[in-house]
Amino acid sequence: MTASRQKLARLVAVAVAVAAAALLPLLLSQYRAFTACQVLVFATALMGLTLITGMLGQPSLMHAELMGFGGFMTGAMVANMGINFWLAVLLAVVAGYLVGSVVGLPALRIRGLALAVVTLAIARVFDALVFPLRWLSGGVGGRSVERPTIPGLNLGSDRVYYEVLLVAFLVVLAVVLSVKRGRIGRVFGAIRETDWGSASSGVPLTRYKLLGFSLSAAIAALAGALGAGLDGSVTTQTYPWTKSVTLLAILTVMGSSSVWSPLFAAIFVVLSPAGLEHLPPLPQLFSKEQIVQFVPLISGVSLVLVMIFTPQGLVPTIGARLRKLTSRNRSRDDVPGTPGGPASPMEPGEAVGTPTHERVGGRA
Amino acid sequence: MHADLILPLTIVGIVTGSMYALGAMGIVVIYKTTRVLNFAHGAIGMISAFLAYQLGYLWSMNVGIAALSAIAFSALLGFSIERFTIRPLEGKAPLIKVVVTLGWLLIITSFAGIKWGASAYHVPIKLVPEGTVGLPGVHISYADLATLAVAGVLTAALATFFRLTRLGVAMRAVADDVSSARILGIRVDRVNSTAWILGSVLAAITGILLSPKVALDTYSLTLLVIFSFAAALYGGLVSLPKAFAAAMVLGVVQSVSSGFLHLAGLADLIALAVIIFALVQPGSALMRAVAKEGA
Repeated sequence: MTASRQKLARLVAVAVAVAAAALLPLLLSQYRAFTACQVLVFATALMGLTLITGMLGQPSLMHAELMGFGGFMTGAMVANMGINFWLAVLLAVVAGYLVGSVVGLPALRIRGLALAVVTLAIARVFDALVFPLRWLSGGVGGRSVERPTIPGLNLGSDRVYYEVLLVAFLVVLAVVLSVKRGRIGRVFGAIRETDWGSASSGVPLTRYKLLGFSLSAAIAALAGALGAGLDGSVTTQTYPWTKSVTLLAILTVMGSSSVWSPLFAAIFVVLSPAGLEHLPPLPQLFSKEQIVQFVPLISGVSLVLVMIFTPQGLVPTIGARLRKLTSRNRSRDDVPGTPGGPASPMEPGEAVGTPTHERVGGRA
Repeated sequence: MHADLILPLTIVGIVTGSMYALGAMGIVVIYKTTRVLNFAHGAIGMISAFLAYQLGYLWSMNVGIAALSAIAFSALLGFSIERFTIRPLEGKAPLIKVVVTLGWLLIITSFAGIKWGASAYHVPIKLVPEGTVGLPGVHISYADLATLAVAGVLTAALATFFRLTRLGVAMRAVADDVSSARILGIRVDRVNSTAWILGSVLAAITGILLSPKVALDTYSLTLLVIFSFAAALYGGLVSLPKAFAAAMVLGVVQSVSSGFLHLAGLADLIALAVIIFALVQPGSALMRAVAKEGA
């Protein structure tokens, strides 16, 4: 196959995938459409988390708080200033970007596990100091956020609102992909491997680290803002502090270096509570409130297991296996003389598997 | 605010600081030996307090036996965490092991939530009889005095242990250079196990002592760890006396400032400031430690 035909084939595949995703709500009931919307909200937010955890190699324990911040900002601006929902979302994203620049400041001097403690402390400050502010959260009851409108579209239907969320998700996906594959992504990779090394070869560390944190926070705020529109409200209970740990855990389980992990992680986070509720014998033995707790429990157990057995995460591991399998079949078809012979050392599957065995979230 | 409030608030702050100091001890013991920052520390203390509550309150066992059983359980838990989930990662990046402790944080917290209810309030067991001692402007309960005494004694005892005993020196040797320690005949695995058992027992003692003071639910004790992290970080995660002093200062600053400014979350903001200061101050012990291991 020539390069241009390969490119065309890839383009067609992407178009088919996007069309399938866009048409998905037609197959779903009203209830399932709401679930699909939730998946998109969390997938978008987790995209932001891959930026700092996967690409910059900094574990963040405050991502759910940043989502909550986006939701509260949107609700507060609509309620206090009477502005349009979409303008409020835009301003919330800008605010998220600025907050990201501020909370990213410690990262200029601190990295690794010490930075994880800092993000945990920042999360506490959000929970204990920022969210209780009356202007922001409207008090203990939280904020109600009315579903936004677009003339001519019935956004009140979850099936239609889904399309809005899909557009947001695809835009964020495109941004993250272009960051990852472009110049910034290569710089991020250099910083992840050795930040003093990259600084000494002329990388402006400050600018790139802050950019990573700001983008990540802006994406989380966007997801939180659109999620508030989806749920119709945002309260301090929407994003309890364990959510941040769960999000980081499940993204790491899936493998934070892959751009596909956020989607799988979001599917797990959103679908597993409902799935567990119907999984015998759980409903007979436990109350609903207890079953919700099984999600962090399972995340924790799988996190420990994944760290021991395949630290780069499930998606890259399984992806490498699959690629190995298909390329082996292909070589069997192409070259009859070597049936299932040893895979060449330059195979893509190998390249993912070997040198990365010490990575958490893509960081050695 | 009246100036005569400063003294009582300082005393309250010292008591609070001793709680943080207790929590910081276990974090330092584990990090000092194994170079693993244990995010599950608060959770281990929390579940031990719950176990003591289960035995001592729900099953009306003797309070002392309940507390001892809970401490024995925490030792077993700490041993298992190290033996089965940290030891297999030997030679891998420190961050991987830290992520494993995050996994345990989730496991323990959600298990306790399923078993005992995440937000419900529970009646903690009390090891220390009720009653107060009158000090100028403030009454201190026996329980608070006990916390202060235990924190002080443990700090001194542990610092001595690391300096003077064979095992303590072996622990520091393992922390400095694992392979050299092994060549010198130190059983590294056993030393690591001991550190985790010791650290978890300290977490349990902290949890059980503090549960009457902090609400016994699955979150409060688990989250208290952030203040202990702040103190431990100030001591570069290795110095027990520095961590103790930092915990006291943190407690006093939080307490006195709350007299000047009524702001929810002020304590957390101060803790964040202490953490960041501990990390970025020039020549901070932690910066050196982190630079050494490249974490």
